[in-house]
Amino acid sequence: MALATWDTTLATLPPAIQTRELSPIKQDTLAAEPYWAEMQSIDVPWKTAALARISALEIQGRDVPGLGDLRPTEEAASQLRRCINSVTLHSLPIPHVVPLSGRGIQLVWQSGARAIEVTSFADGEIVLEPLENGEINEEISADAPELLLKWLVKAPRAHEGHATAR
Amino acid sequence: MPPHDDLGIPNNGVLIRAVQADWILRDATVERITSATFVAGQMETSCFLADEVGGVNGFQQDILPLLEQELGKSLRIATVPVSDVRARGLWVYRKPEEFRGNPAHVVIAAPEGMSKSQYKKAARSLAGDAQLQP
Repeated sequence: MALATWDTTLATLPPAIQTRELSPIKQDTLAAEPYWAEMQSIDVPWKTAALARISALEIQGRDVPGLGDLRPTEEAASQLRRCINSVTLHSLPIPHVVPLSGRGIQLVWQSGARAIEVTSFADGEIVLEPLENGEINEEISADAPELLLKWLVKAPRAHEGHATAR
Repeated sequence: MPPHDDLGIPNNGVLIRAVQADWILRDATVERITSATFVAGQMETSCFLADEVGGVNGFQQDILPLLEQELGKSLRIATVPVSDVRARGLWVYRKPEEFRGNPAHVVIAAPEGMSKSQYKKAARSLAGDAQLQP
């Protein structure tokens, strides 16, 4: 009975509309969409800059006898990337990322008199240090990067040199 | 030879460390070296004994160009007394095999049992005492 009613309705419609109703337009999903969605989630200026610098050091680093081996180990690079990706704060200064002799990497956020140094050793061990006027601030717990960074951006001159205003 | 403190290297000796440009912090008119100059990923930092390379001038003439050529960039020089290294609990010993068999090549190293945090703190303190040469 329902089928008969449906057929009757169709019979009253122009052919083009019939076709459209019977073949609903399929929503096409581009294969690239999930990829770009993922990229947007990490599109934070300081993260993009830091990750690009780490990759550059991996490619360009050299072993210079008498100075040191400036090629970061895979462990040093991957642990530093993991540390960077664990931070959810978007509004942070662009960090300085420098190679260390002996195949390590150091990342430094500076905001006014405060700084956070993240040292990734060749074996992948990470050491975090909160600095104030170049000296370690022993009162701040160095266990979690996120907490340290909140301390950093609360610095009196924290607005200076920020990469984003988000 | 395993890591050790070579007491044959006198306390009044001076170490020369080559410094990359990105290990130097510039605040207006002041330049200072950062901890990255002395912190090493494997806790061993290459230096040279000033007395055995003809001092800063000898190093600049004979060794620095070799390092710069290898790196492809220009380098600066920092100096630090051996006594300052030992005062922070770090060791100094010769490692000629890491630079053309040259016995003037030494490393500043963390002693066994020193944690990376302790090492980092010592190396930072050392960077604060080192003199960046013009």
